[in-house]
Amino acid sequence: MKYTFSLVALIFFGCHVAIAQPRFKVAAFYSTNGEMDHINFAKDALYFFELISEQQQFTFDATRDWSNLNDNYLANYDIVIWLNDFPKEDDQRAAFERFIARGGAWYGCHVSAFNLPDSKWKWFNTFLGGAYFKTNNWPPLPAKVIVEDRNHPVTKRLPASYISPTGEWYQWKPSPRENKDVKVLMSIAPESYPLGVKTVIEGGDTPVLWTNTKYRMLYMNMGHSNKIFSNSEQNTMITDAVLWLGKAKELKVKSE
Amino acid sequence: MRSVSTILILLATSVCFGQKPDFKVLAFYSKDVESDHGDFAKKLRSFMNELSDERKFTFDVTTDWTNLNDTLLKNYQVVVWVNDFPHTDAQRKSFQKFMDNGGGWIGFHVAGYNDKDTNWPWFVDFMGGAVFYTNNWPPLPARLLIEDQDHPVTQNVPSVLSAPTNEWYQWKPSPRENKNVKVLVTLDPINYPIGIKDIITAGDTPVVWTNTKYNMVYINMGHGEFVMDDQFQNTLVADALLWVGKSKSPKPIIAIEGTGLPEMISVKGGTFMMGDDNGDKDEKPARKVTVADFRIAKTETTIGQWRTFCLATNRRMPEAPWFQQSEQHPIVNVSWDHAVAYAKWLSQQTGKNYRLPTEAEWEFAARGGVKSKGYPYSGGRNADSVAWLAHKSEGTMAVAQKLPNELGLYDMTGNVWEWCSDWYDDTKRFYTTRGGAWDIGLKNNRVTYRNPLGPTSRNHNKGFRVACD
Repeated sequence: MKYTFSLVALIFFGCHVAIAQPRFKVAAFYSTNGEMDHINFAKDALYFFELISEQQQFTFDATRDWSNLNDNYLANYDIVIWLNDFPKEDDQRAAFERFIARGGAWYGCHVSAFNLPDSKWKWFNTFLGGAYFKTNNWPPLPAKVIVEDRNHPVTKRLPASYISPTGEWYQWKPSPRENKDVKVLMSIAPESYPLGVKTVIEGGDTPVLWTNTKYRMLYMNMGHSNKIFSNSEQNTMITDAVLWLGKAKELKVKSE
Repeated sequence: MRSVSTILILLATSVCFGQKPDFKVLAFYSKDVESDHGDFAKKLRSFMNELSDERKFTFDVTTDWTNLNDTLLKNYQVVVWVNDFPHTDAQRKSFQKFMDNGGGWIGFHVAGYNDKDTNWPWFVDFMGGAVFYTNNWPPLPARLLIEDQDHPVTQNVPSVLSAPTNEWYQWKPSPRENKNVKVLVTLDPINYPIGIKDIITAGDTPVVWTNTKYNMVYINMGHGEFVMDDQFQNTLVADALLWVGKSKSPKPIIAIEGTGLPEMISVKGGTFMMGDDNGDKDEKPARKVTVADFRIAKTETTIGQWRTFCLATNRRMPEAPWFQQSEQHPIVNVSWDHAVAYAKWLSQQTGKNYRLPTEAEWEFAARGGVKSKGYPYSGGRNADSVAWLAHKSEGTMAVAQKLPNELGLYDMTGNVWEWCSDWYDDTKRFYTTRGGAWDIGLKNNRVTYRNPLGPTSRNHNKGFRVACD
């Protein structure tokens, strides 16, 4: 049945046309004043999300204007994605808090969760599950990651472990795992340590995908290179992540 | 019908009348193809028109593949397939005869495409056995390795190419498995996995090769409007055509451009203690290193200097960062590969051996060479008097505004990280950048600090300066 639906949609609308009835709406925020690896990730993410938004029948909009993080703008959307930055202004932060409070969903990537014990936005740290940035490997490298729960909607189509493409991996202190409301879905595999060349993560617990179950949110540490979308299994996870946050089921896509 | 198209071909001829061309090329392309393949055909055509004027050959183009017949091909020494291949037996037979008689062929991109439905065994053998297997999608830039730097097709390019956006094909079997095939250029495994929608994850991916049983070169580039944007890749394309055309016309002498050349400072060689026993693990132990005399640029390569290179080579400028820049600011967002290509170009322009400094040369020069006073930052103990660093500016700054070091070199500390020529360590995955940058803290701006990065990595705070023997 699902298959029939997408086929019918294809016949009616062809490719690359606006979706008549989006199942949910996504707004992605990103910046281009920063590290090239972060900019490249955002560029690839725009390509990827536009592609799957057609296949999976949702609206995908993107903006570099973080002042759009306000009540009026956010009222149009179900999910907010932060690709490579985070809000710096108090009113933007407050609008985001209200968006989350009324059931809005958040998908954060890489540096979007960067925060330190002296960061002023305490709500955000609580939202993340208490994780403060501690260290990262340098230079960026691929890493073997473990899928901790293969029954969760986000990770159900992933193998037990895989090599995730080149990235700068963050370790957190405290680890979000220490928070009982946090569900860690993926972490760095022990055999990946020591991870790094110049700056090395020697070991320990390094969650890379988690949700704070008190909110509709998912944080993914991937986002530092032009290679993030070059693993089709991981791409499937990213698709499933958006569908989960959008409370939508996967539509079967006929490959071209 | 045939006579009409011949007249059209004559009209499209680009060599002046009354001059005997070195050789004659007939290029076939199709209009009713993927738009990316059409875009490439347009770009290649204008490139070849210019080249044929310079190098005295005839370059004719046709969209009528029935021109692939014995009678017409008698007039030509080289056939080029720009974005398609013949679809009828008659055309295939004439081409086969042309090649068997020693004709030349250049095929771009989809011209070499063949799969189980092609039903042309001779062509598969001609391609060295290569059958299309997979491709990346969307089209992406890639790092290419030159496998033979002495071959006439590849002798004028650096050892690595930063190839513009293309759809890369992988072949099964790889043509490398054929003993008659000479692979000239291959996709660097560093690119894997490459793609988003369709991903090439691993394997051998030759991109330029010749089947030595024929006078032919296959070139996988040819998808999209950016393919002809890299001067060195274009040089390879030109040299491939001239090679199969057996060109006798000498390479034109390029006028040496006086402006835009970097000002070089002579550094007298010597022995120094490289590294720092109190620094990071990769700075230890401090050890005795000797460097020979060399020359190094007084400043980081500027935007103006890089622009000269871009204008001379039809290359695109890298993306501008978000902060304000003048022509005197250091060029940024250039990779190690780009910096090496710039040095190669400077060398070709001047006949001198421009290159990146080795790490030892860089550190020796940053410390002030034989005149060193042993400062932790290049030129002084007080970092702010010699360097832009630690976020004290809004971005990079024009070069040579702070005090120079003992040798008269500017901004060796701060402003932008500078690429060095050698590997960071024995794993040979990363090159080293040196000297810190405007948005980097004091500790990482020390003259001994080492920052490893992959050869294609680019950033708003990474630049370079050239050295010379």
